[in-house]
Amino acid sequence: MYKSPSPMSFCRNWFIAWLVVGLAFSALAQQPAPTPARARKATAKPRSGYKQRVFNARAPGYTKKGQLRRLSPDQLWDAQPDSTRPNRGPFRLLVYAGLGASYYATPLNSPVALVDKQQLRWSIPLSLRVMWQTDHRMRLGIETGYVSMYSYKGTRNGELANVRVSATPILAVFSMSVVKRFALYAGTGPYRINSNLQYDGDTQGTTYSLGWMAAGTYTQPLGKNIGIAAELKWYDATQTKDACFIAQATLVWRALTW
Amino acid sequence: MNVSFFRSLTLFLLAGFVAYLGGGCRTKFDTAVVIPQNLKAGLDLPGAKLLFAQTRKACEGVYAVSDGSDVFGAEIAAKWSYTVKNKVDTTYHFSLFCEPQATYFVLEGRQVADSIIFLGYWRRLVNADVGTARFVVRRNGGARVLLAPDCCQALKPGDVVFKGMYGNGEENQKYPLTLSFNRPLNPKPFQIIAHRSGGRTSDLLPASENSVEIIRLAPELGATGVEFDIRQTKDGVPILYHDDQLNLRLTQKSGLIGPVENYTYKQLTSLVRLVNGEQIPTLEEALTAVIDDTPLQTVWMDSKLIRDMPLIREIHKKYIAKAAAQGRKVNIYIGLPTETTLNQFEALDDHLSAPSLCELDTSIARRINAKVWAPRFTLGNPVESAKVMQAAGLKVFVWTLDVPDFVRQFIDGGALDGILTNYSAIVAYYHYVQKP
Repeated sequence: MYKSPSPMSFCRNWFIAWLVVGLAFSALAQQPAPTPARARKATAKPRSGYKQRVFNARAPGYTKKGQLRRLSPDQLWDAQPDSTRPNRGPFRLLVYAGLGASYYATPLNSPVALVDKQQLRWSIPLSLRVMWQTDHRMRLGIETGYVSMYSYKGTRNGELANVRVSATPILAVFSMSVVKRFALYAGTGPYRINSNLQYDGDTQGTTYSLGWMAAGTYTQPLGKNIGIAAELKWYDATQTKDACFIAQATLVWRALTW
Repeated sequence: MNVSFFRSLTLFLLAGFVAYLGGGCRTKFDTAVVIPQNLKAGLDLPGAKLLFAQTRKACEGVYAVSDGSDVFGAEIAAKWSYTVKNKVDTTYHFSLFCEPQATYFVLEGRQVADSIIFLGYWRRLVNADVGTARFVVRRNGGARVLLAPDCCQALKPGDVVFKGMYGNGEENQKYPLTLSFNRPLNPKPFQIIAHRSGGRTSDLLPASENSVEIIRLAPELGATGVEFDIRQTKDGVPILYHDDQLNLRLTQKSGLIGPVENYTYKQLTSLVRLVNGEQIPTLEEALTAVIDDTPLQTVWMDSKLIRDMPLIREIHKKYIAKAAAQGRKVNIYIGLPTETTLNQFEALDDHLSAPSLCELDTSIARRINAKVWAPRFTLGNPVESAKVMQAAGLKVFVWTLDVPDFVRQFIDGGALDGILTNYSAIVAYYHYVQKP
């Protein structure tokens, strides 16, 4: 018999998909990228009388001007090529707080029974992300926030109906710095979808929708522990078919280093 | 741009692809099955006449399939049903039920000169296959007998031959399909009860589950009864809705989410449409459709979440009286699936005289004087229990049977009075072809 995919199998597919993604990221992160520079370093004999410069990622050095040396992900990697050794680090906790603009990007069919309909797809989203920056390339974290997905209003028999739908993501996020200051993010988890109806009374509704997100950021350091990032992001609450595109400015704060 | 960048980008794209695959399993839900339209135009030939009742009745039977048996099986069960629109416009449908892949035909017939023509569509419920079909019964192929004023005494095998062609999709009919009358339908009384008022939305039927439109469609699919799922709105109106939440499985996207009981009837009728565009019907609209528009004989009102059982009972009584007043033999049962609904039902003063259907234990079914005991099929074929309950005057329905092998086994057991199913066409086939 024809069997419709059940919510259980849908969740299982998602779990498997993200397990594959996580393992792939993890596998990649455990191996040094075979760049030509690294290949040369690996085979070159040290010249006599030359003290090779080694980056110490746990105690970052200072520049000649006395400023803290910022290490790129590749430099961090070169300093700590073996992430399985017991003395690991440094680890950092990064906090991202973003504010920007969102556009609801999936079809929106407000009820045909309404007349004089008006739809609003734009909103100002907020996001908060906490990432654990490991001593290899992959970062792990969680993300939440608030985005007003869409709203519409119209009249039915002369009475105004107003519907607003918003989402709060609760996502597990993976991130990888691909080149200096540029990072990609992918996440999955539930979105808490809220609706508010003002028509024949005031009615709220809530449901959870499994979904995913993808984002890219470019971060510009502003100080020792502060930076600002430009971020493009896609939120997709798959089960409720809600998705939006977000462009936002994100404040990055290196809250902890150990 | 170094190698690691491209490797990372590739992995990221891979992640996106895998995520897409994860979501891609929903695609089948969105695939529309387009039933061929405007077939009736092919019947509006000069001189075409509607068929008389005795001719329709005589066409019913089990037919042997010669050409086309590799696609539609060796036997087909043929049965008429009707739908009334606007209380006056009655349309008769000739449905053919096949064994392979839950295939059914829905045809309309006309007398043209001394022949009978049938035109319609076929569909497989297990996938999205559809097509058109056309049959002719010529004068010397049985039309003379079927159109005779004194039609029809017992037909013998081969007395009536349907010479037909069928096609896939909207294409012309180019494959032969020949049916030859073999024997009458199994005459044993048996209820084929369609789940969710006719069938599930996920099976891509042309109407949404638990809508008035699917109730009107149910007889064409082989049903002799329907099962409703009843809930009550915030303001107490009994409606038909299966799930506990407004969701995209059952409704078009409207922004309204959460428990259906949180919304008033006015809110739901104004802003929510079922997947195929229908309104969520009230219980009264659904019962009116059953009685006024269809030949359905059984209604199983499954109490999903009811706060006001006395109101349900009042509606129940009202529509039993309405059916009786119209000369319709319709058995309407209040379904009792849980202890909660059972307690609500037993709190009614007249619960012992109210026709009910008990899904719980046999002793409870007897205690409340239920008219039907309805165990789930996973408990096995209840042959012995059914005999005991039938001896006590109860009918026995089993729910919810969809797998063809199980359907055949339960029907062959011969102990049941009815089966609740998502695939009425399958149950109809196995019941009607069974030899008494």
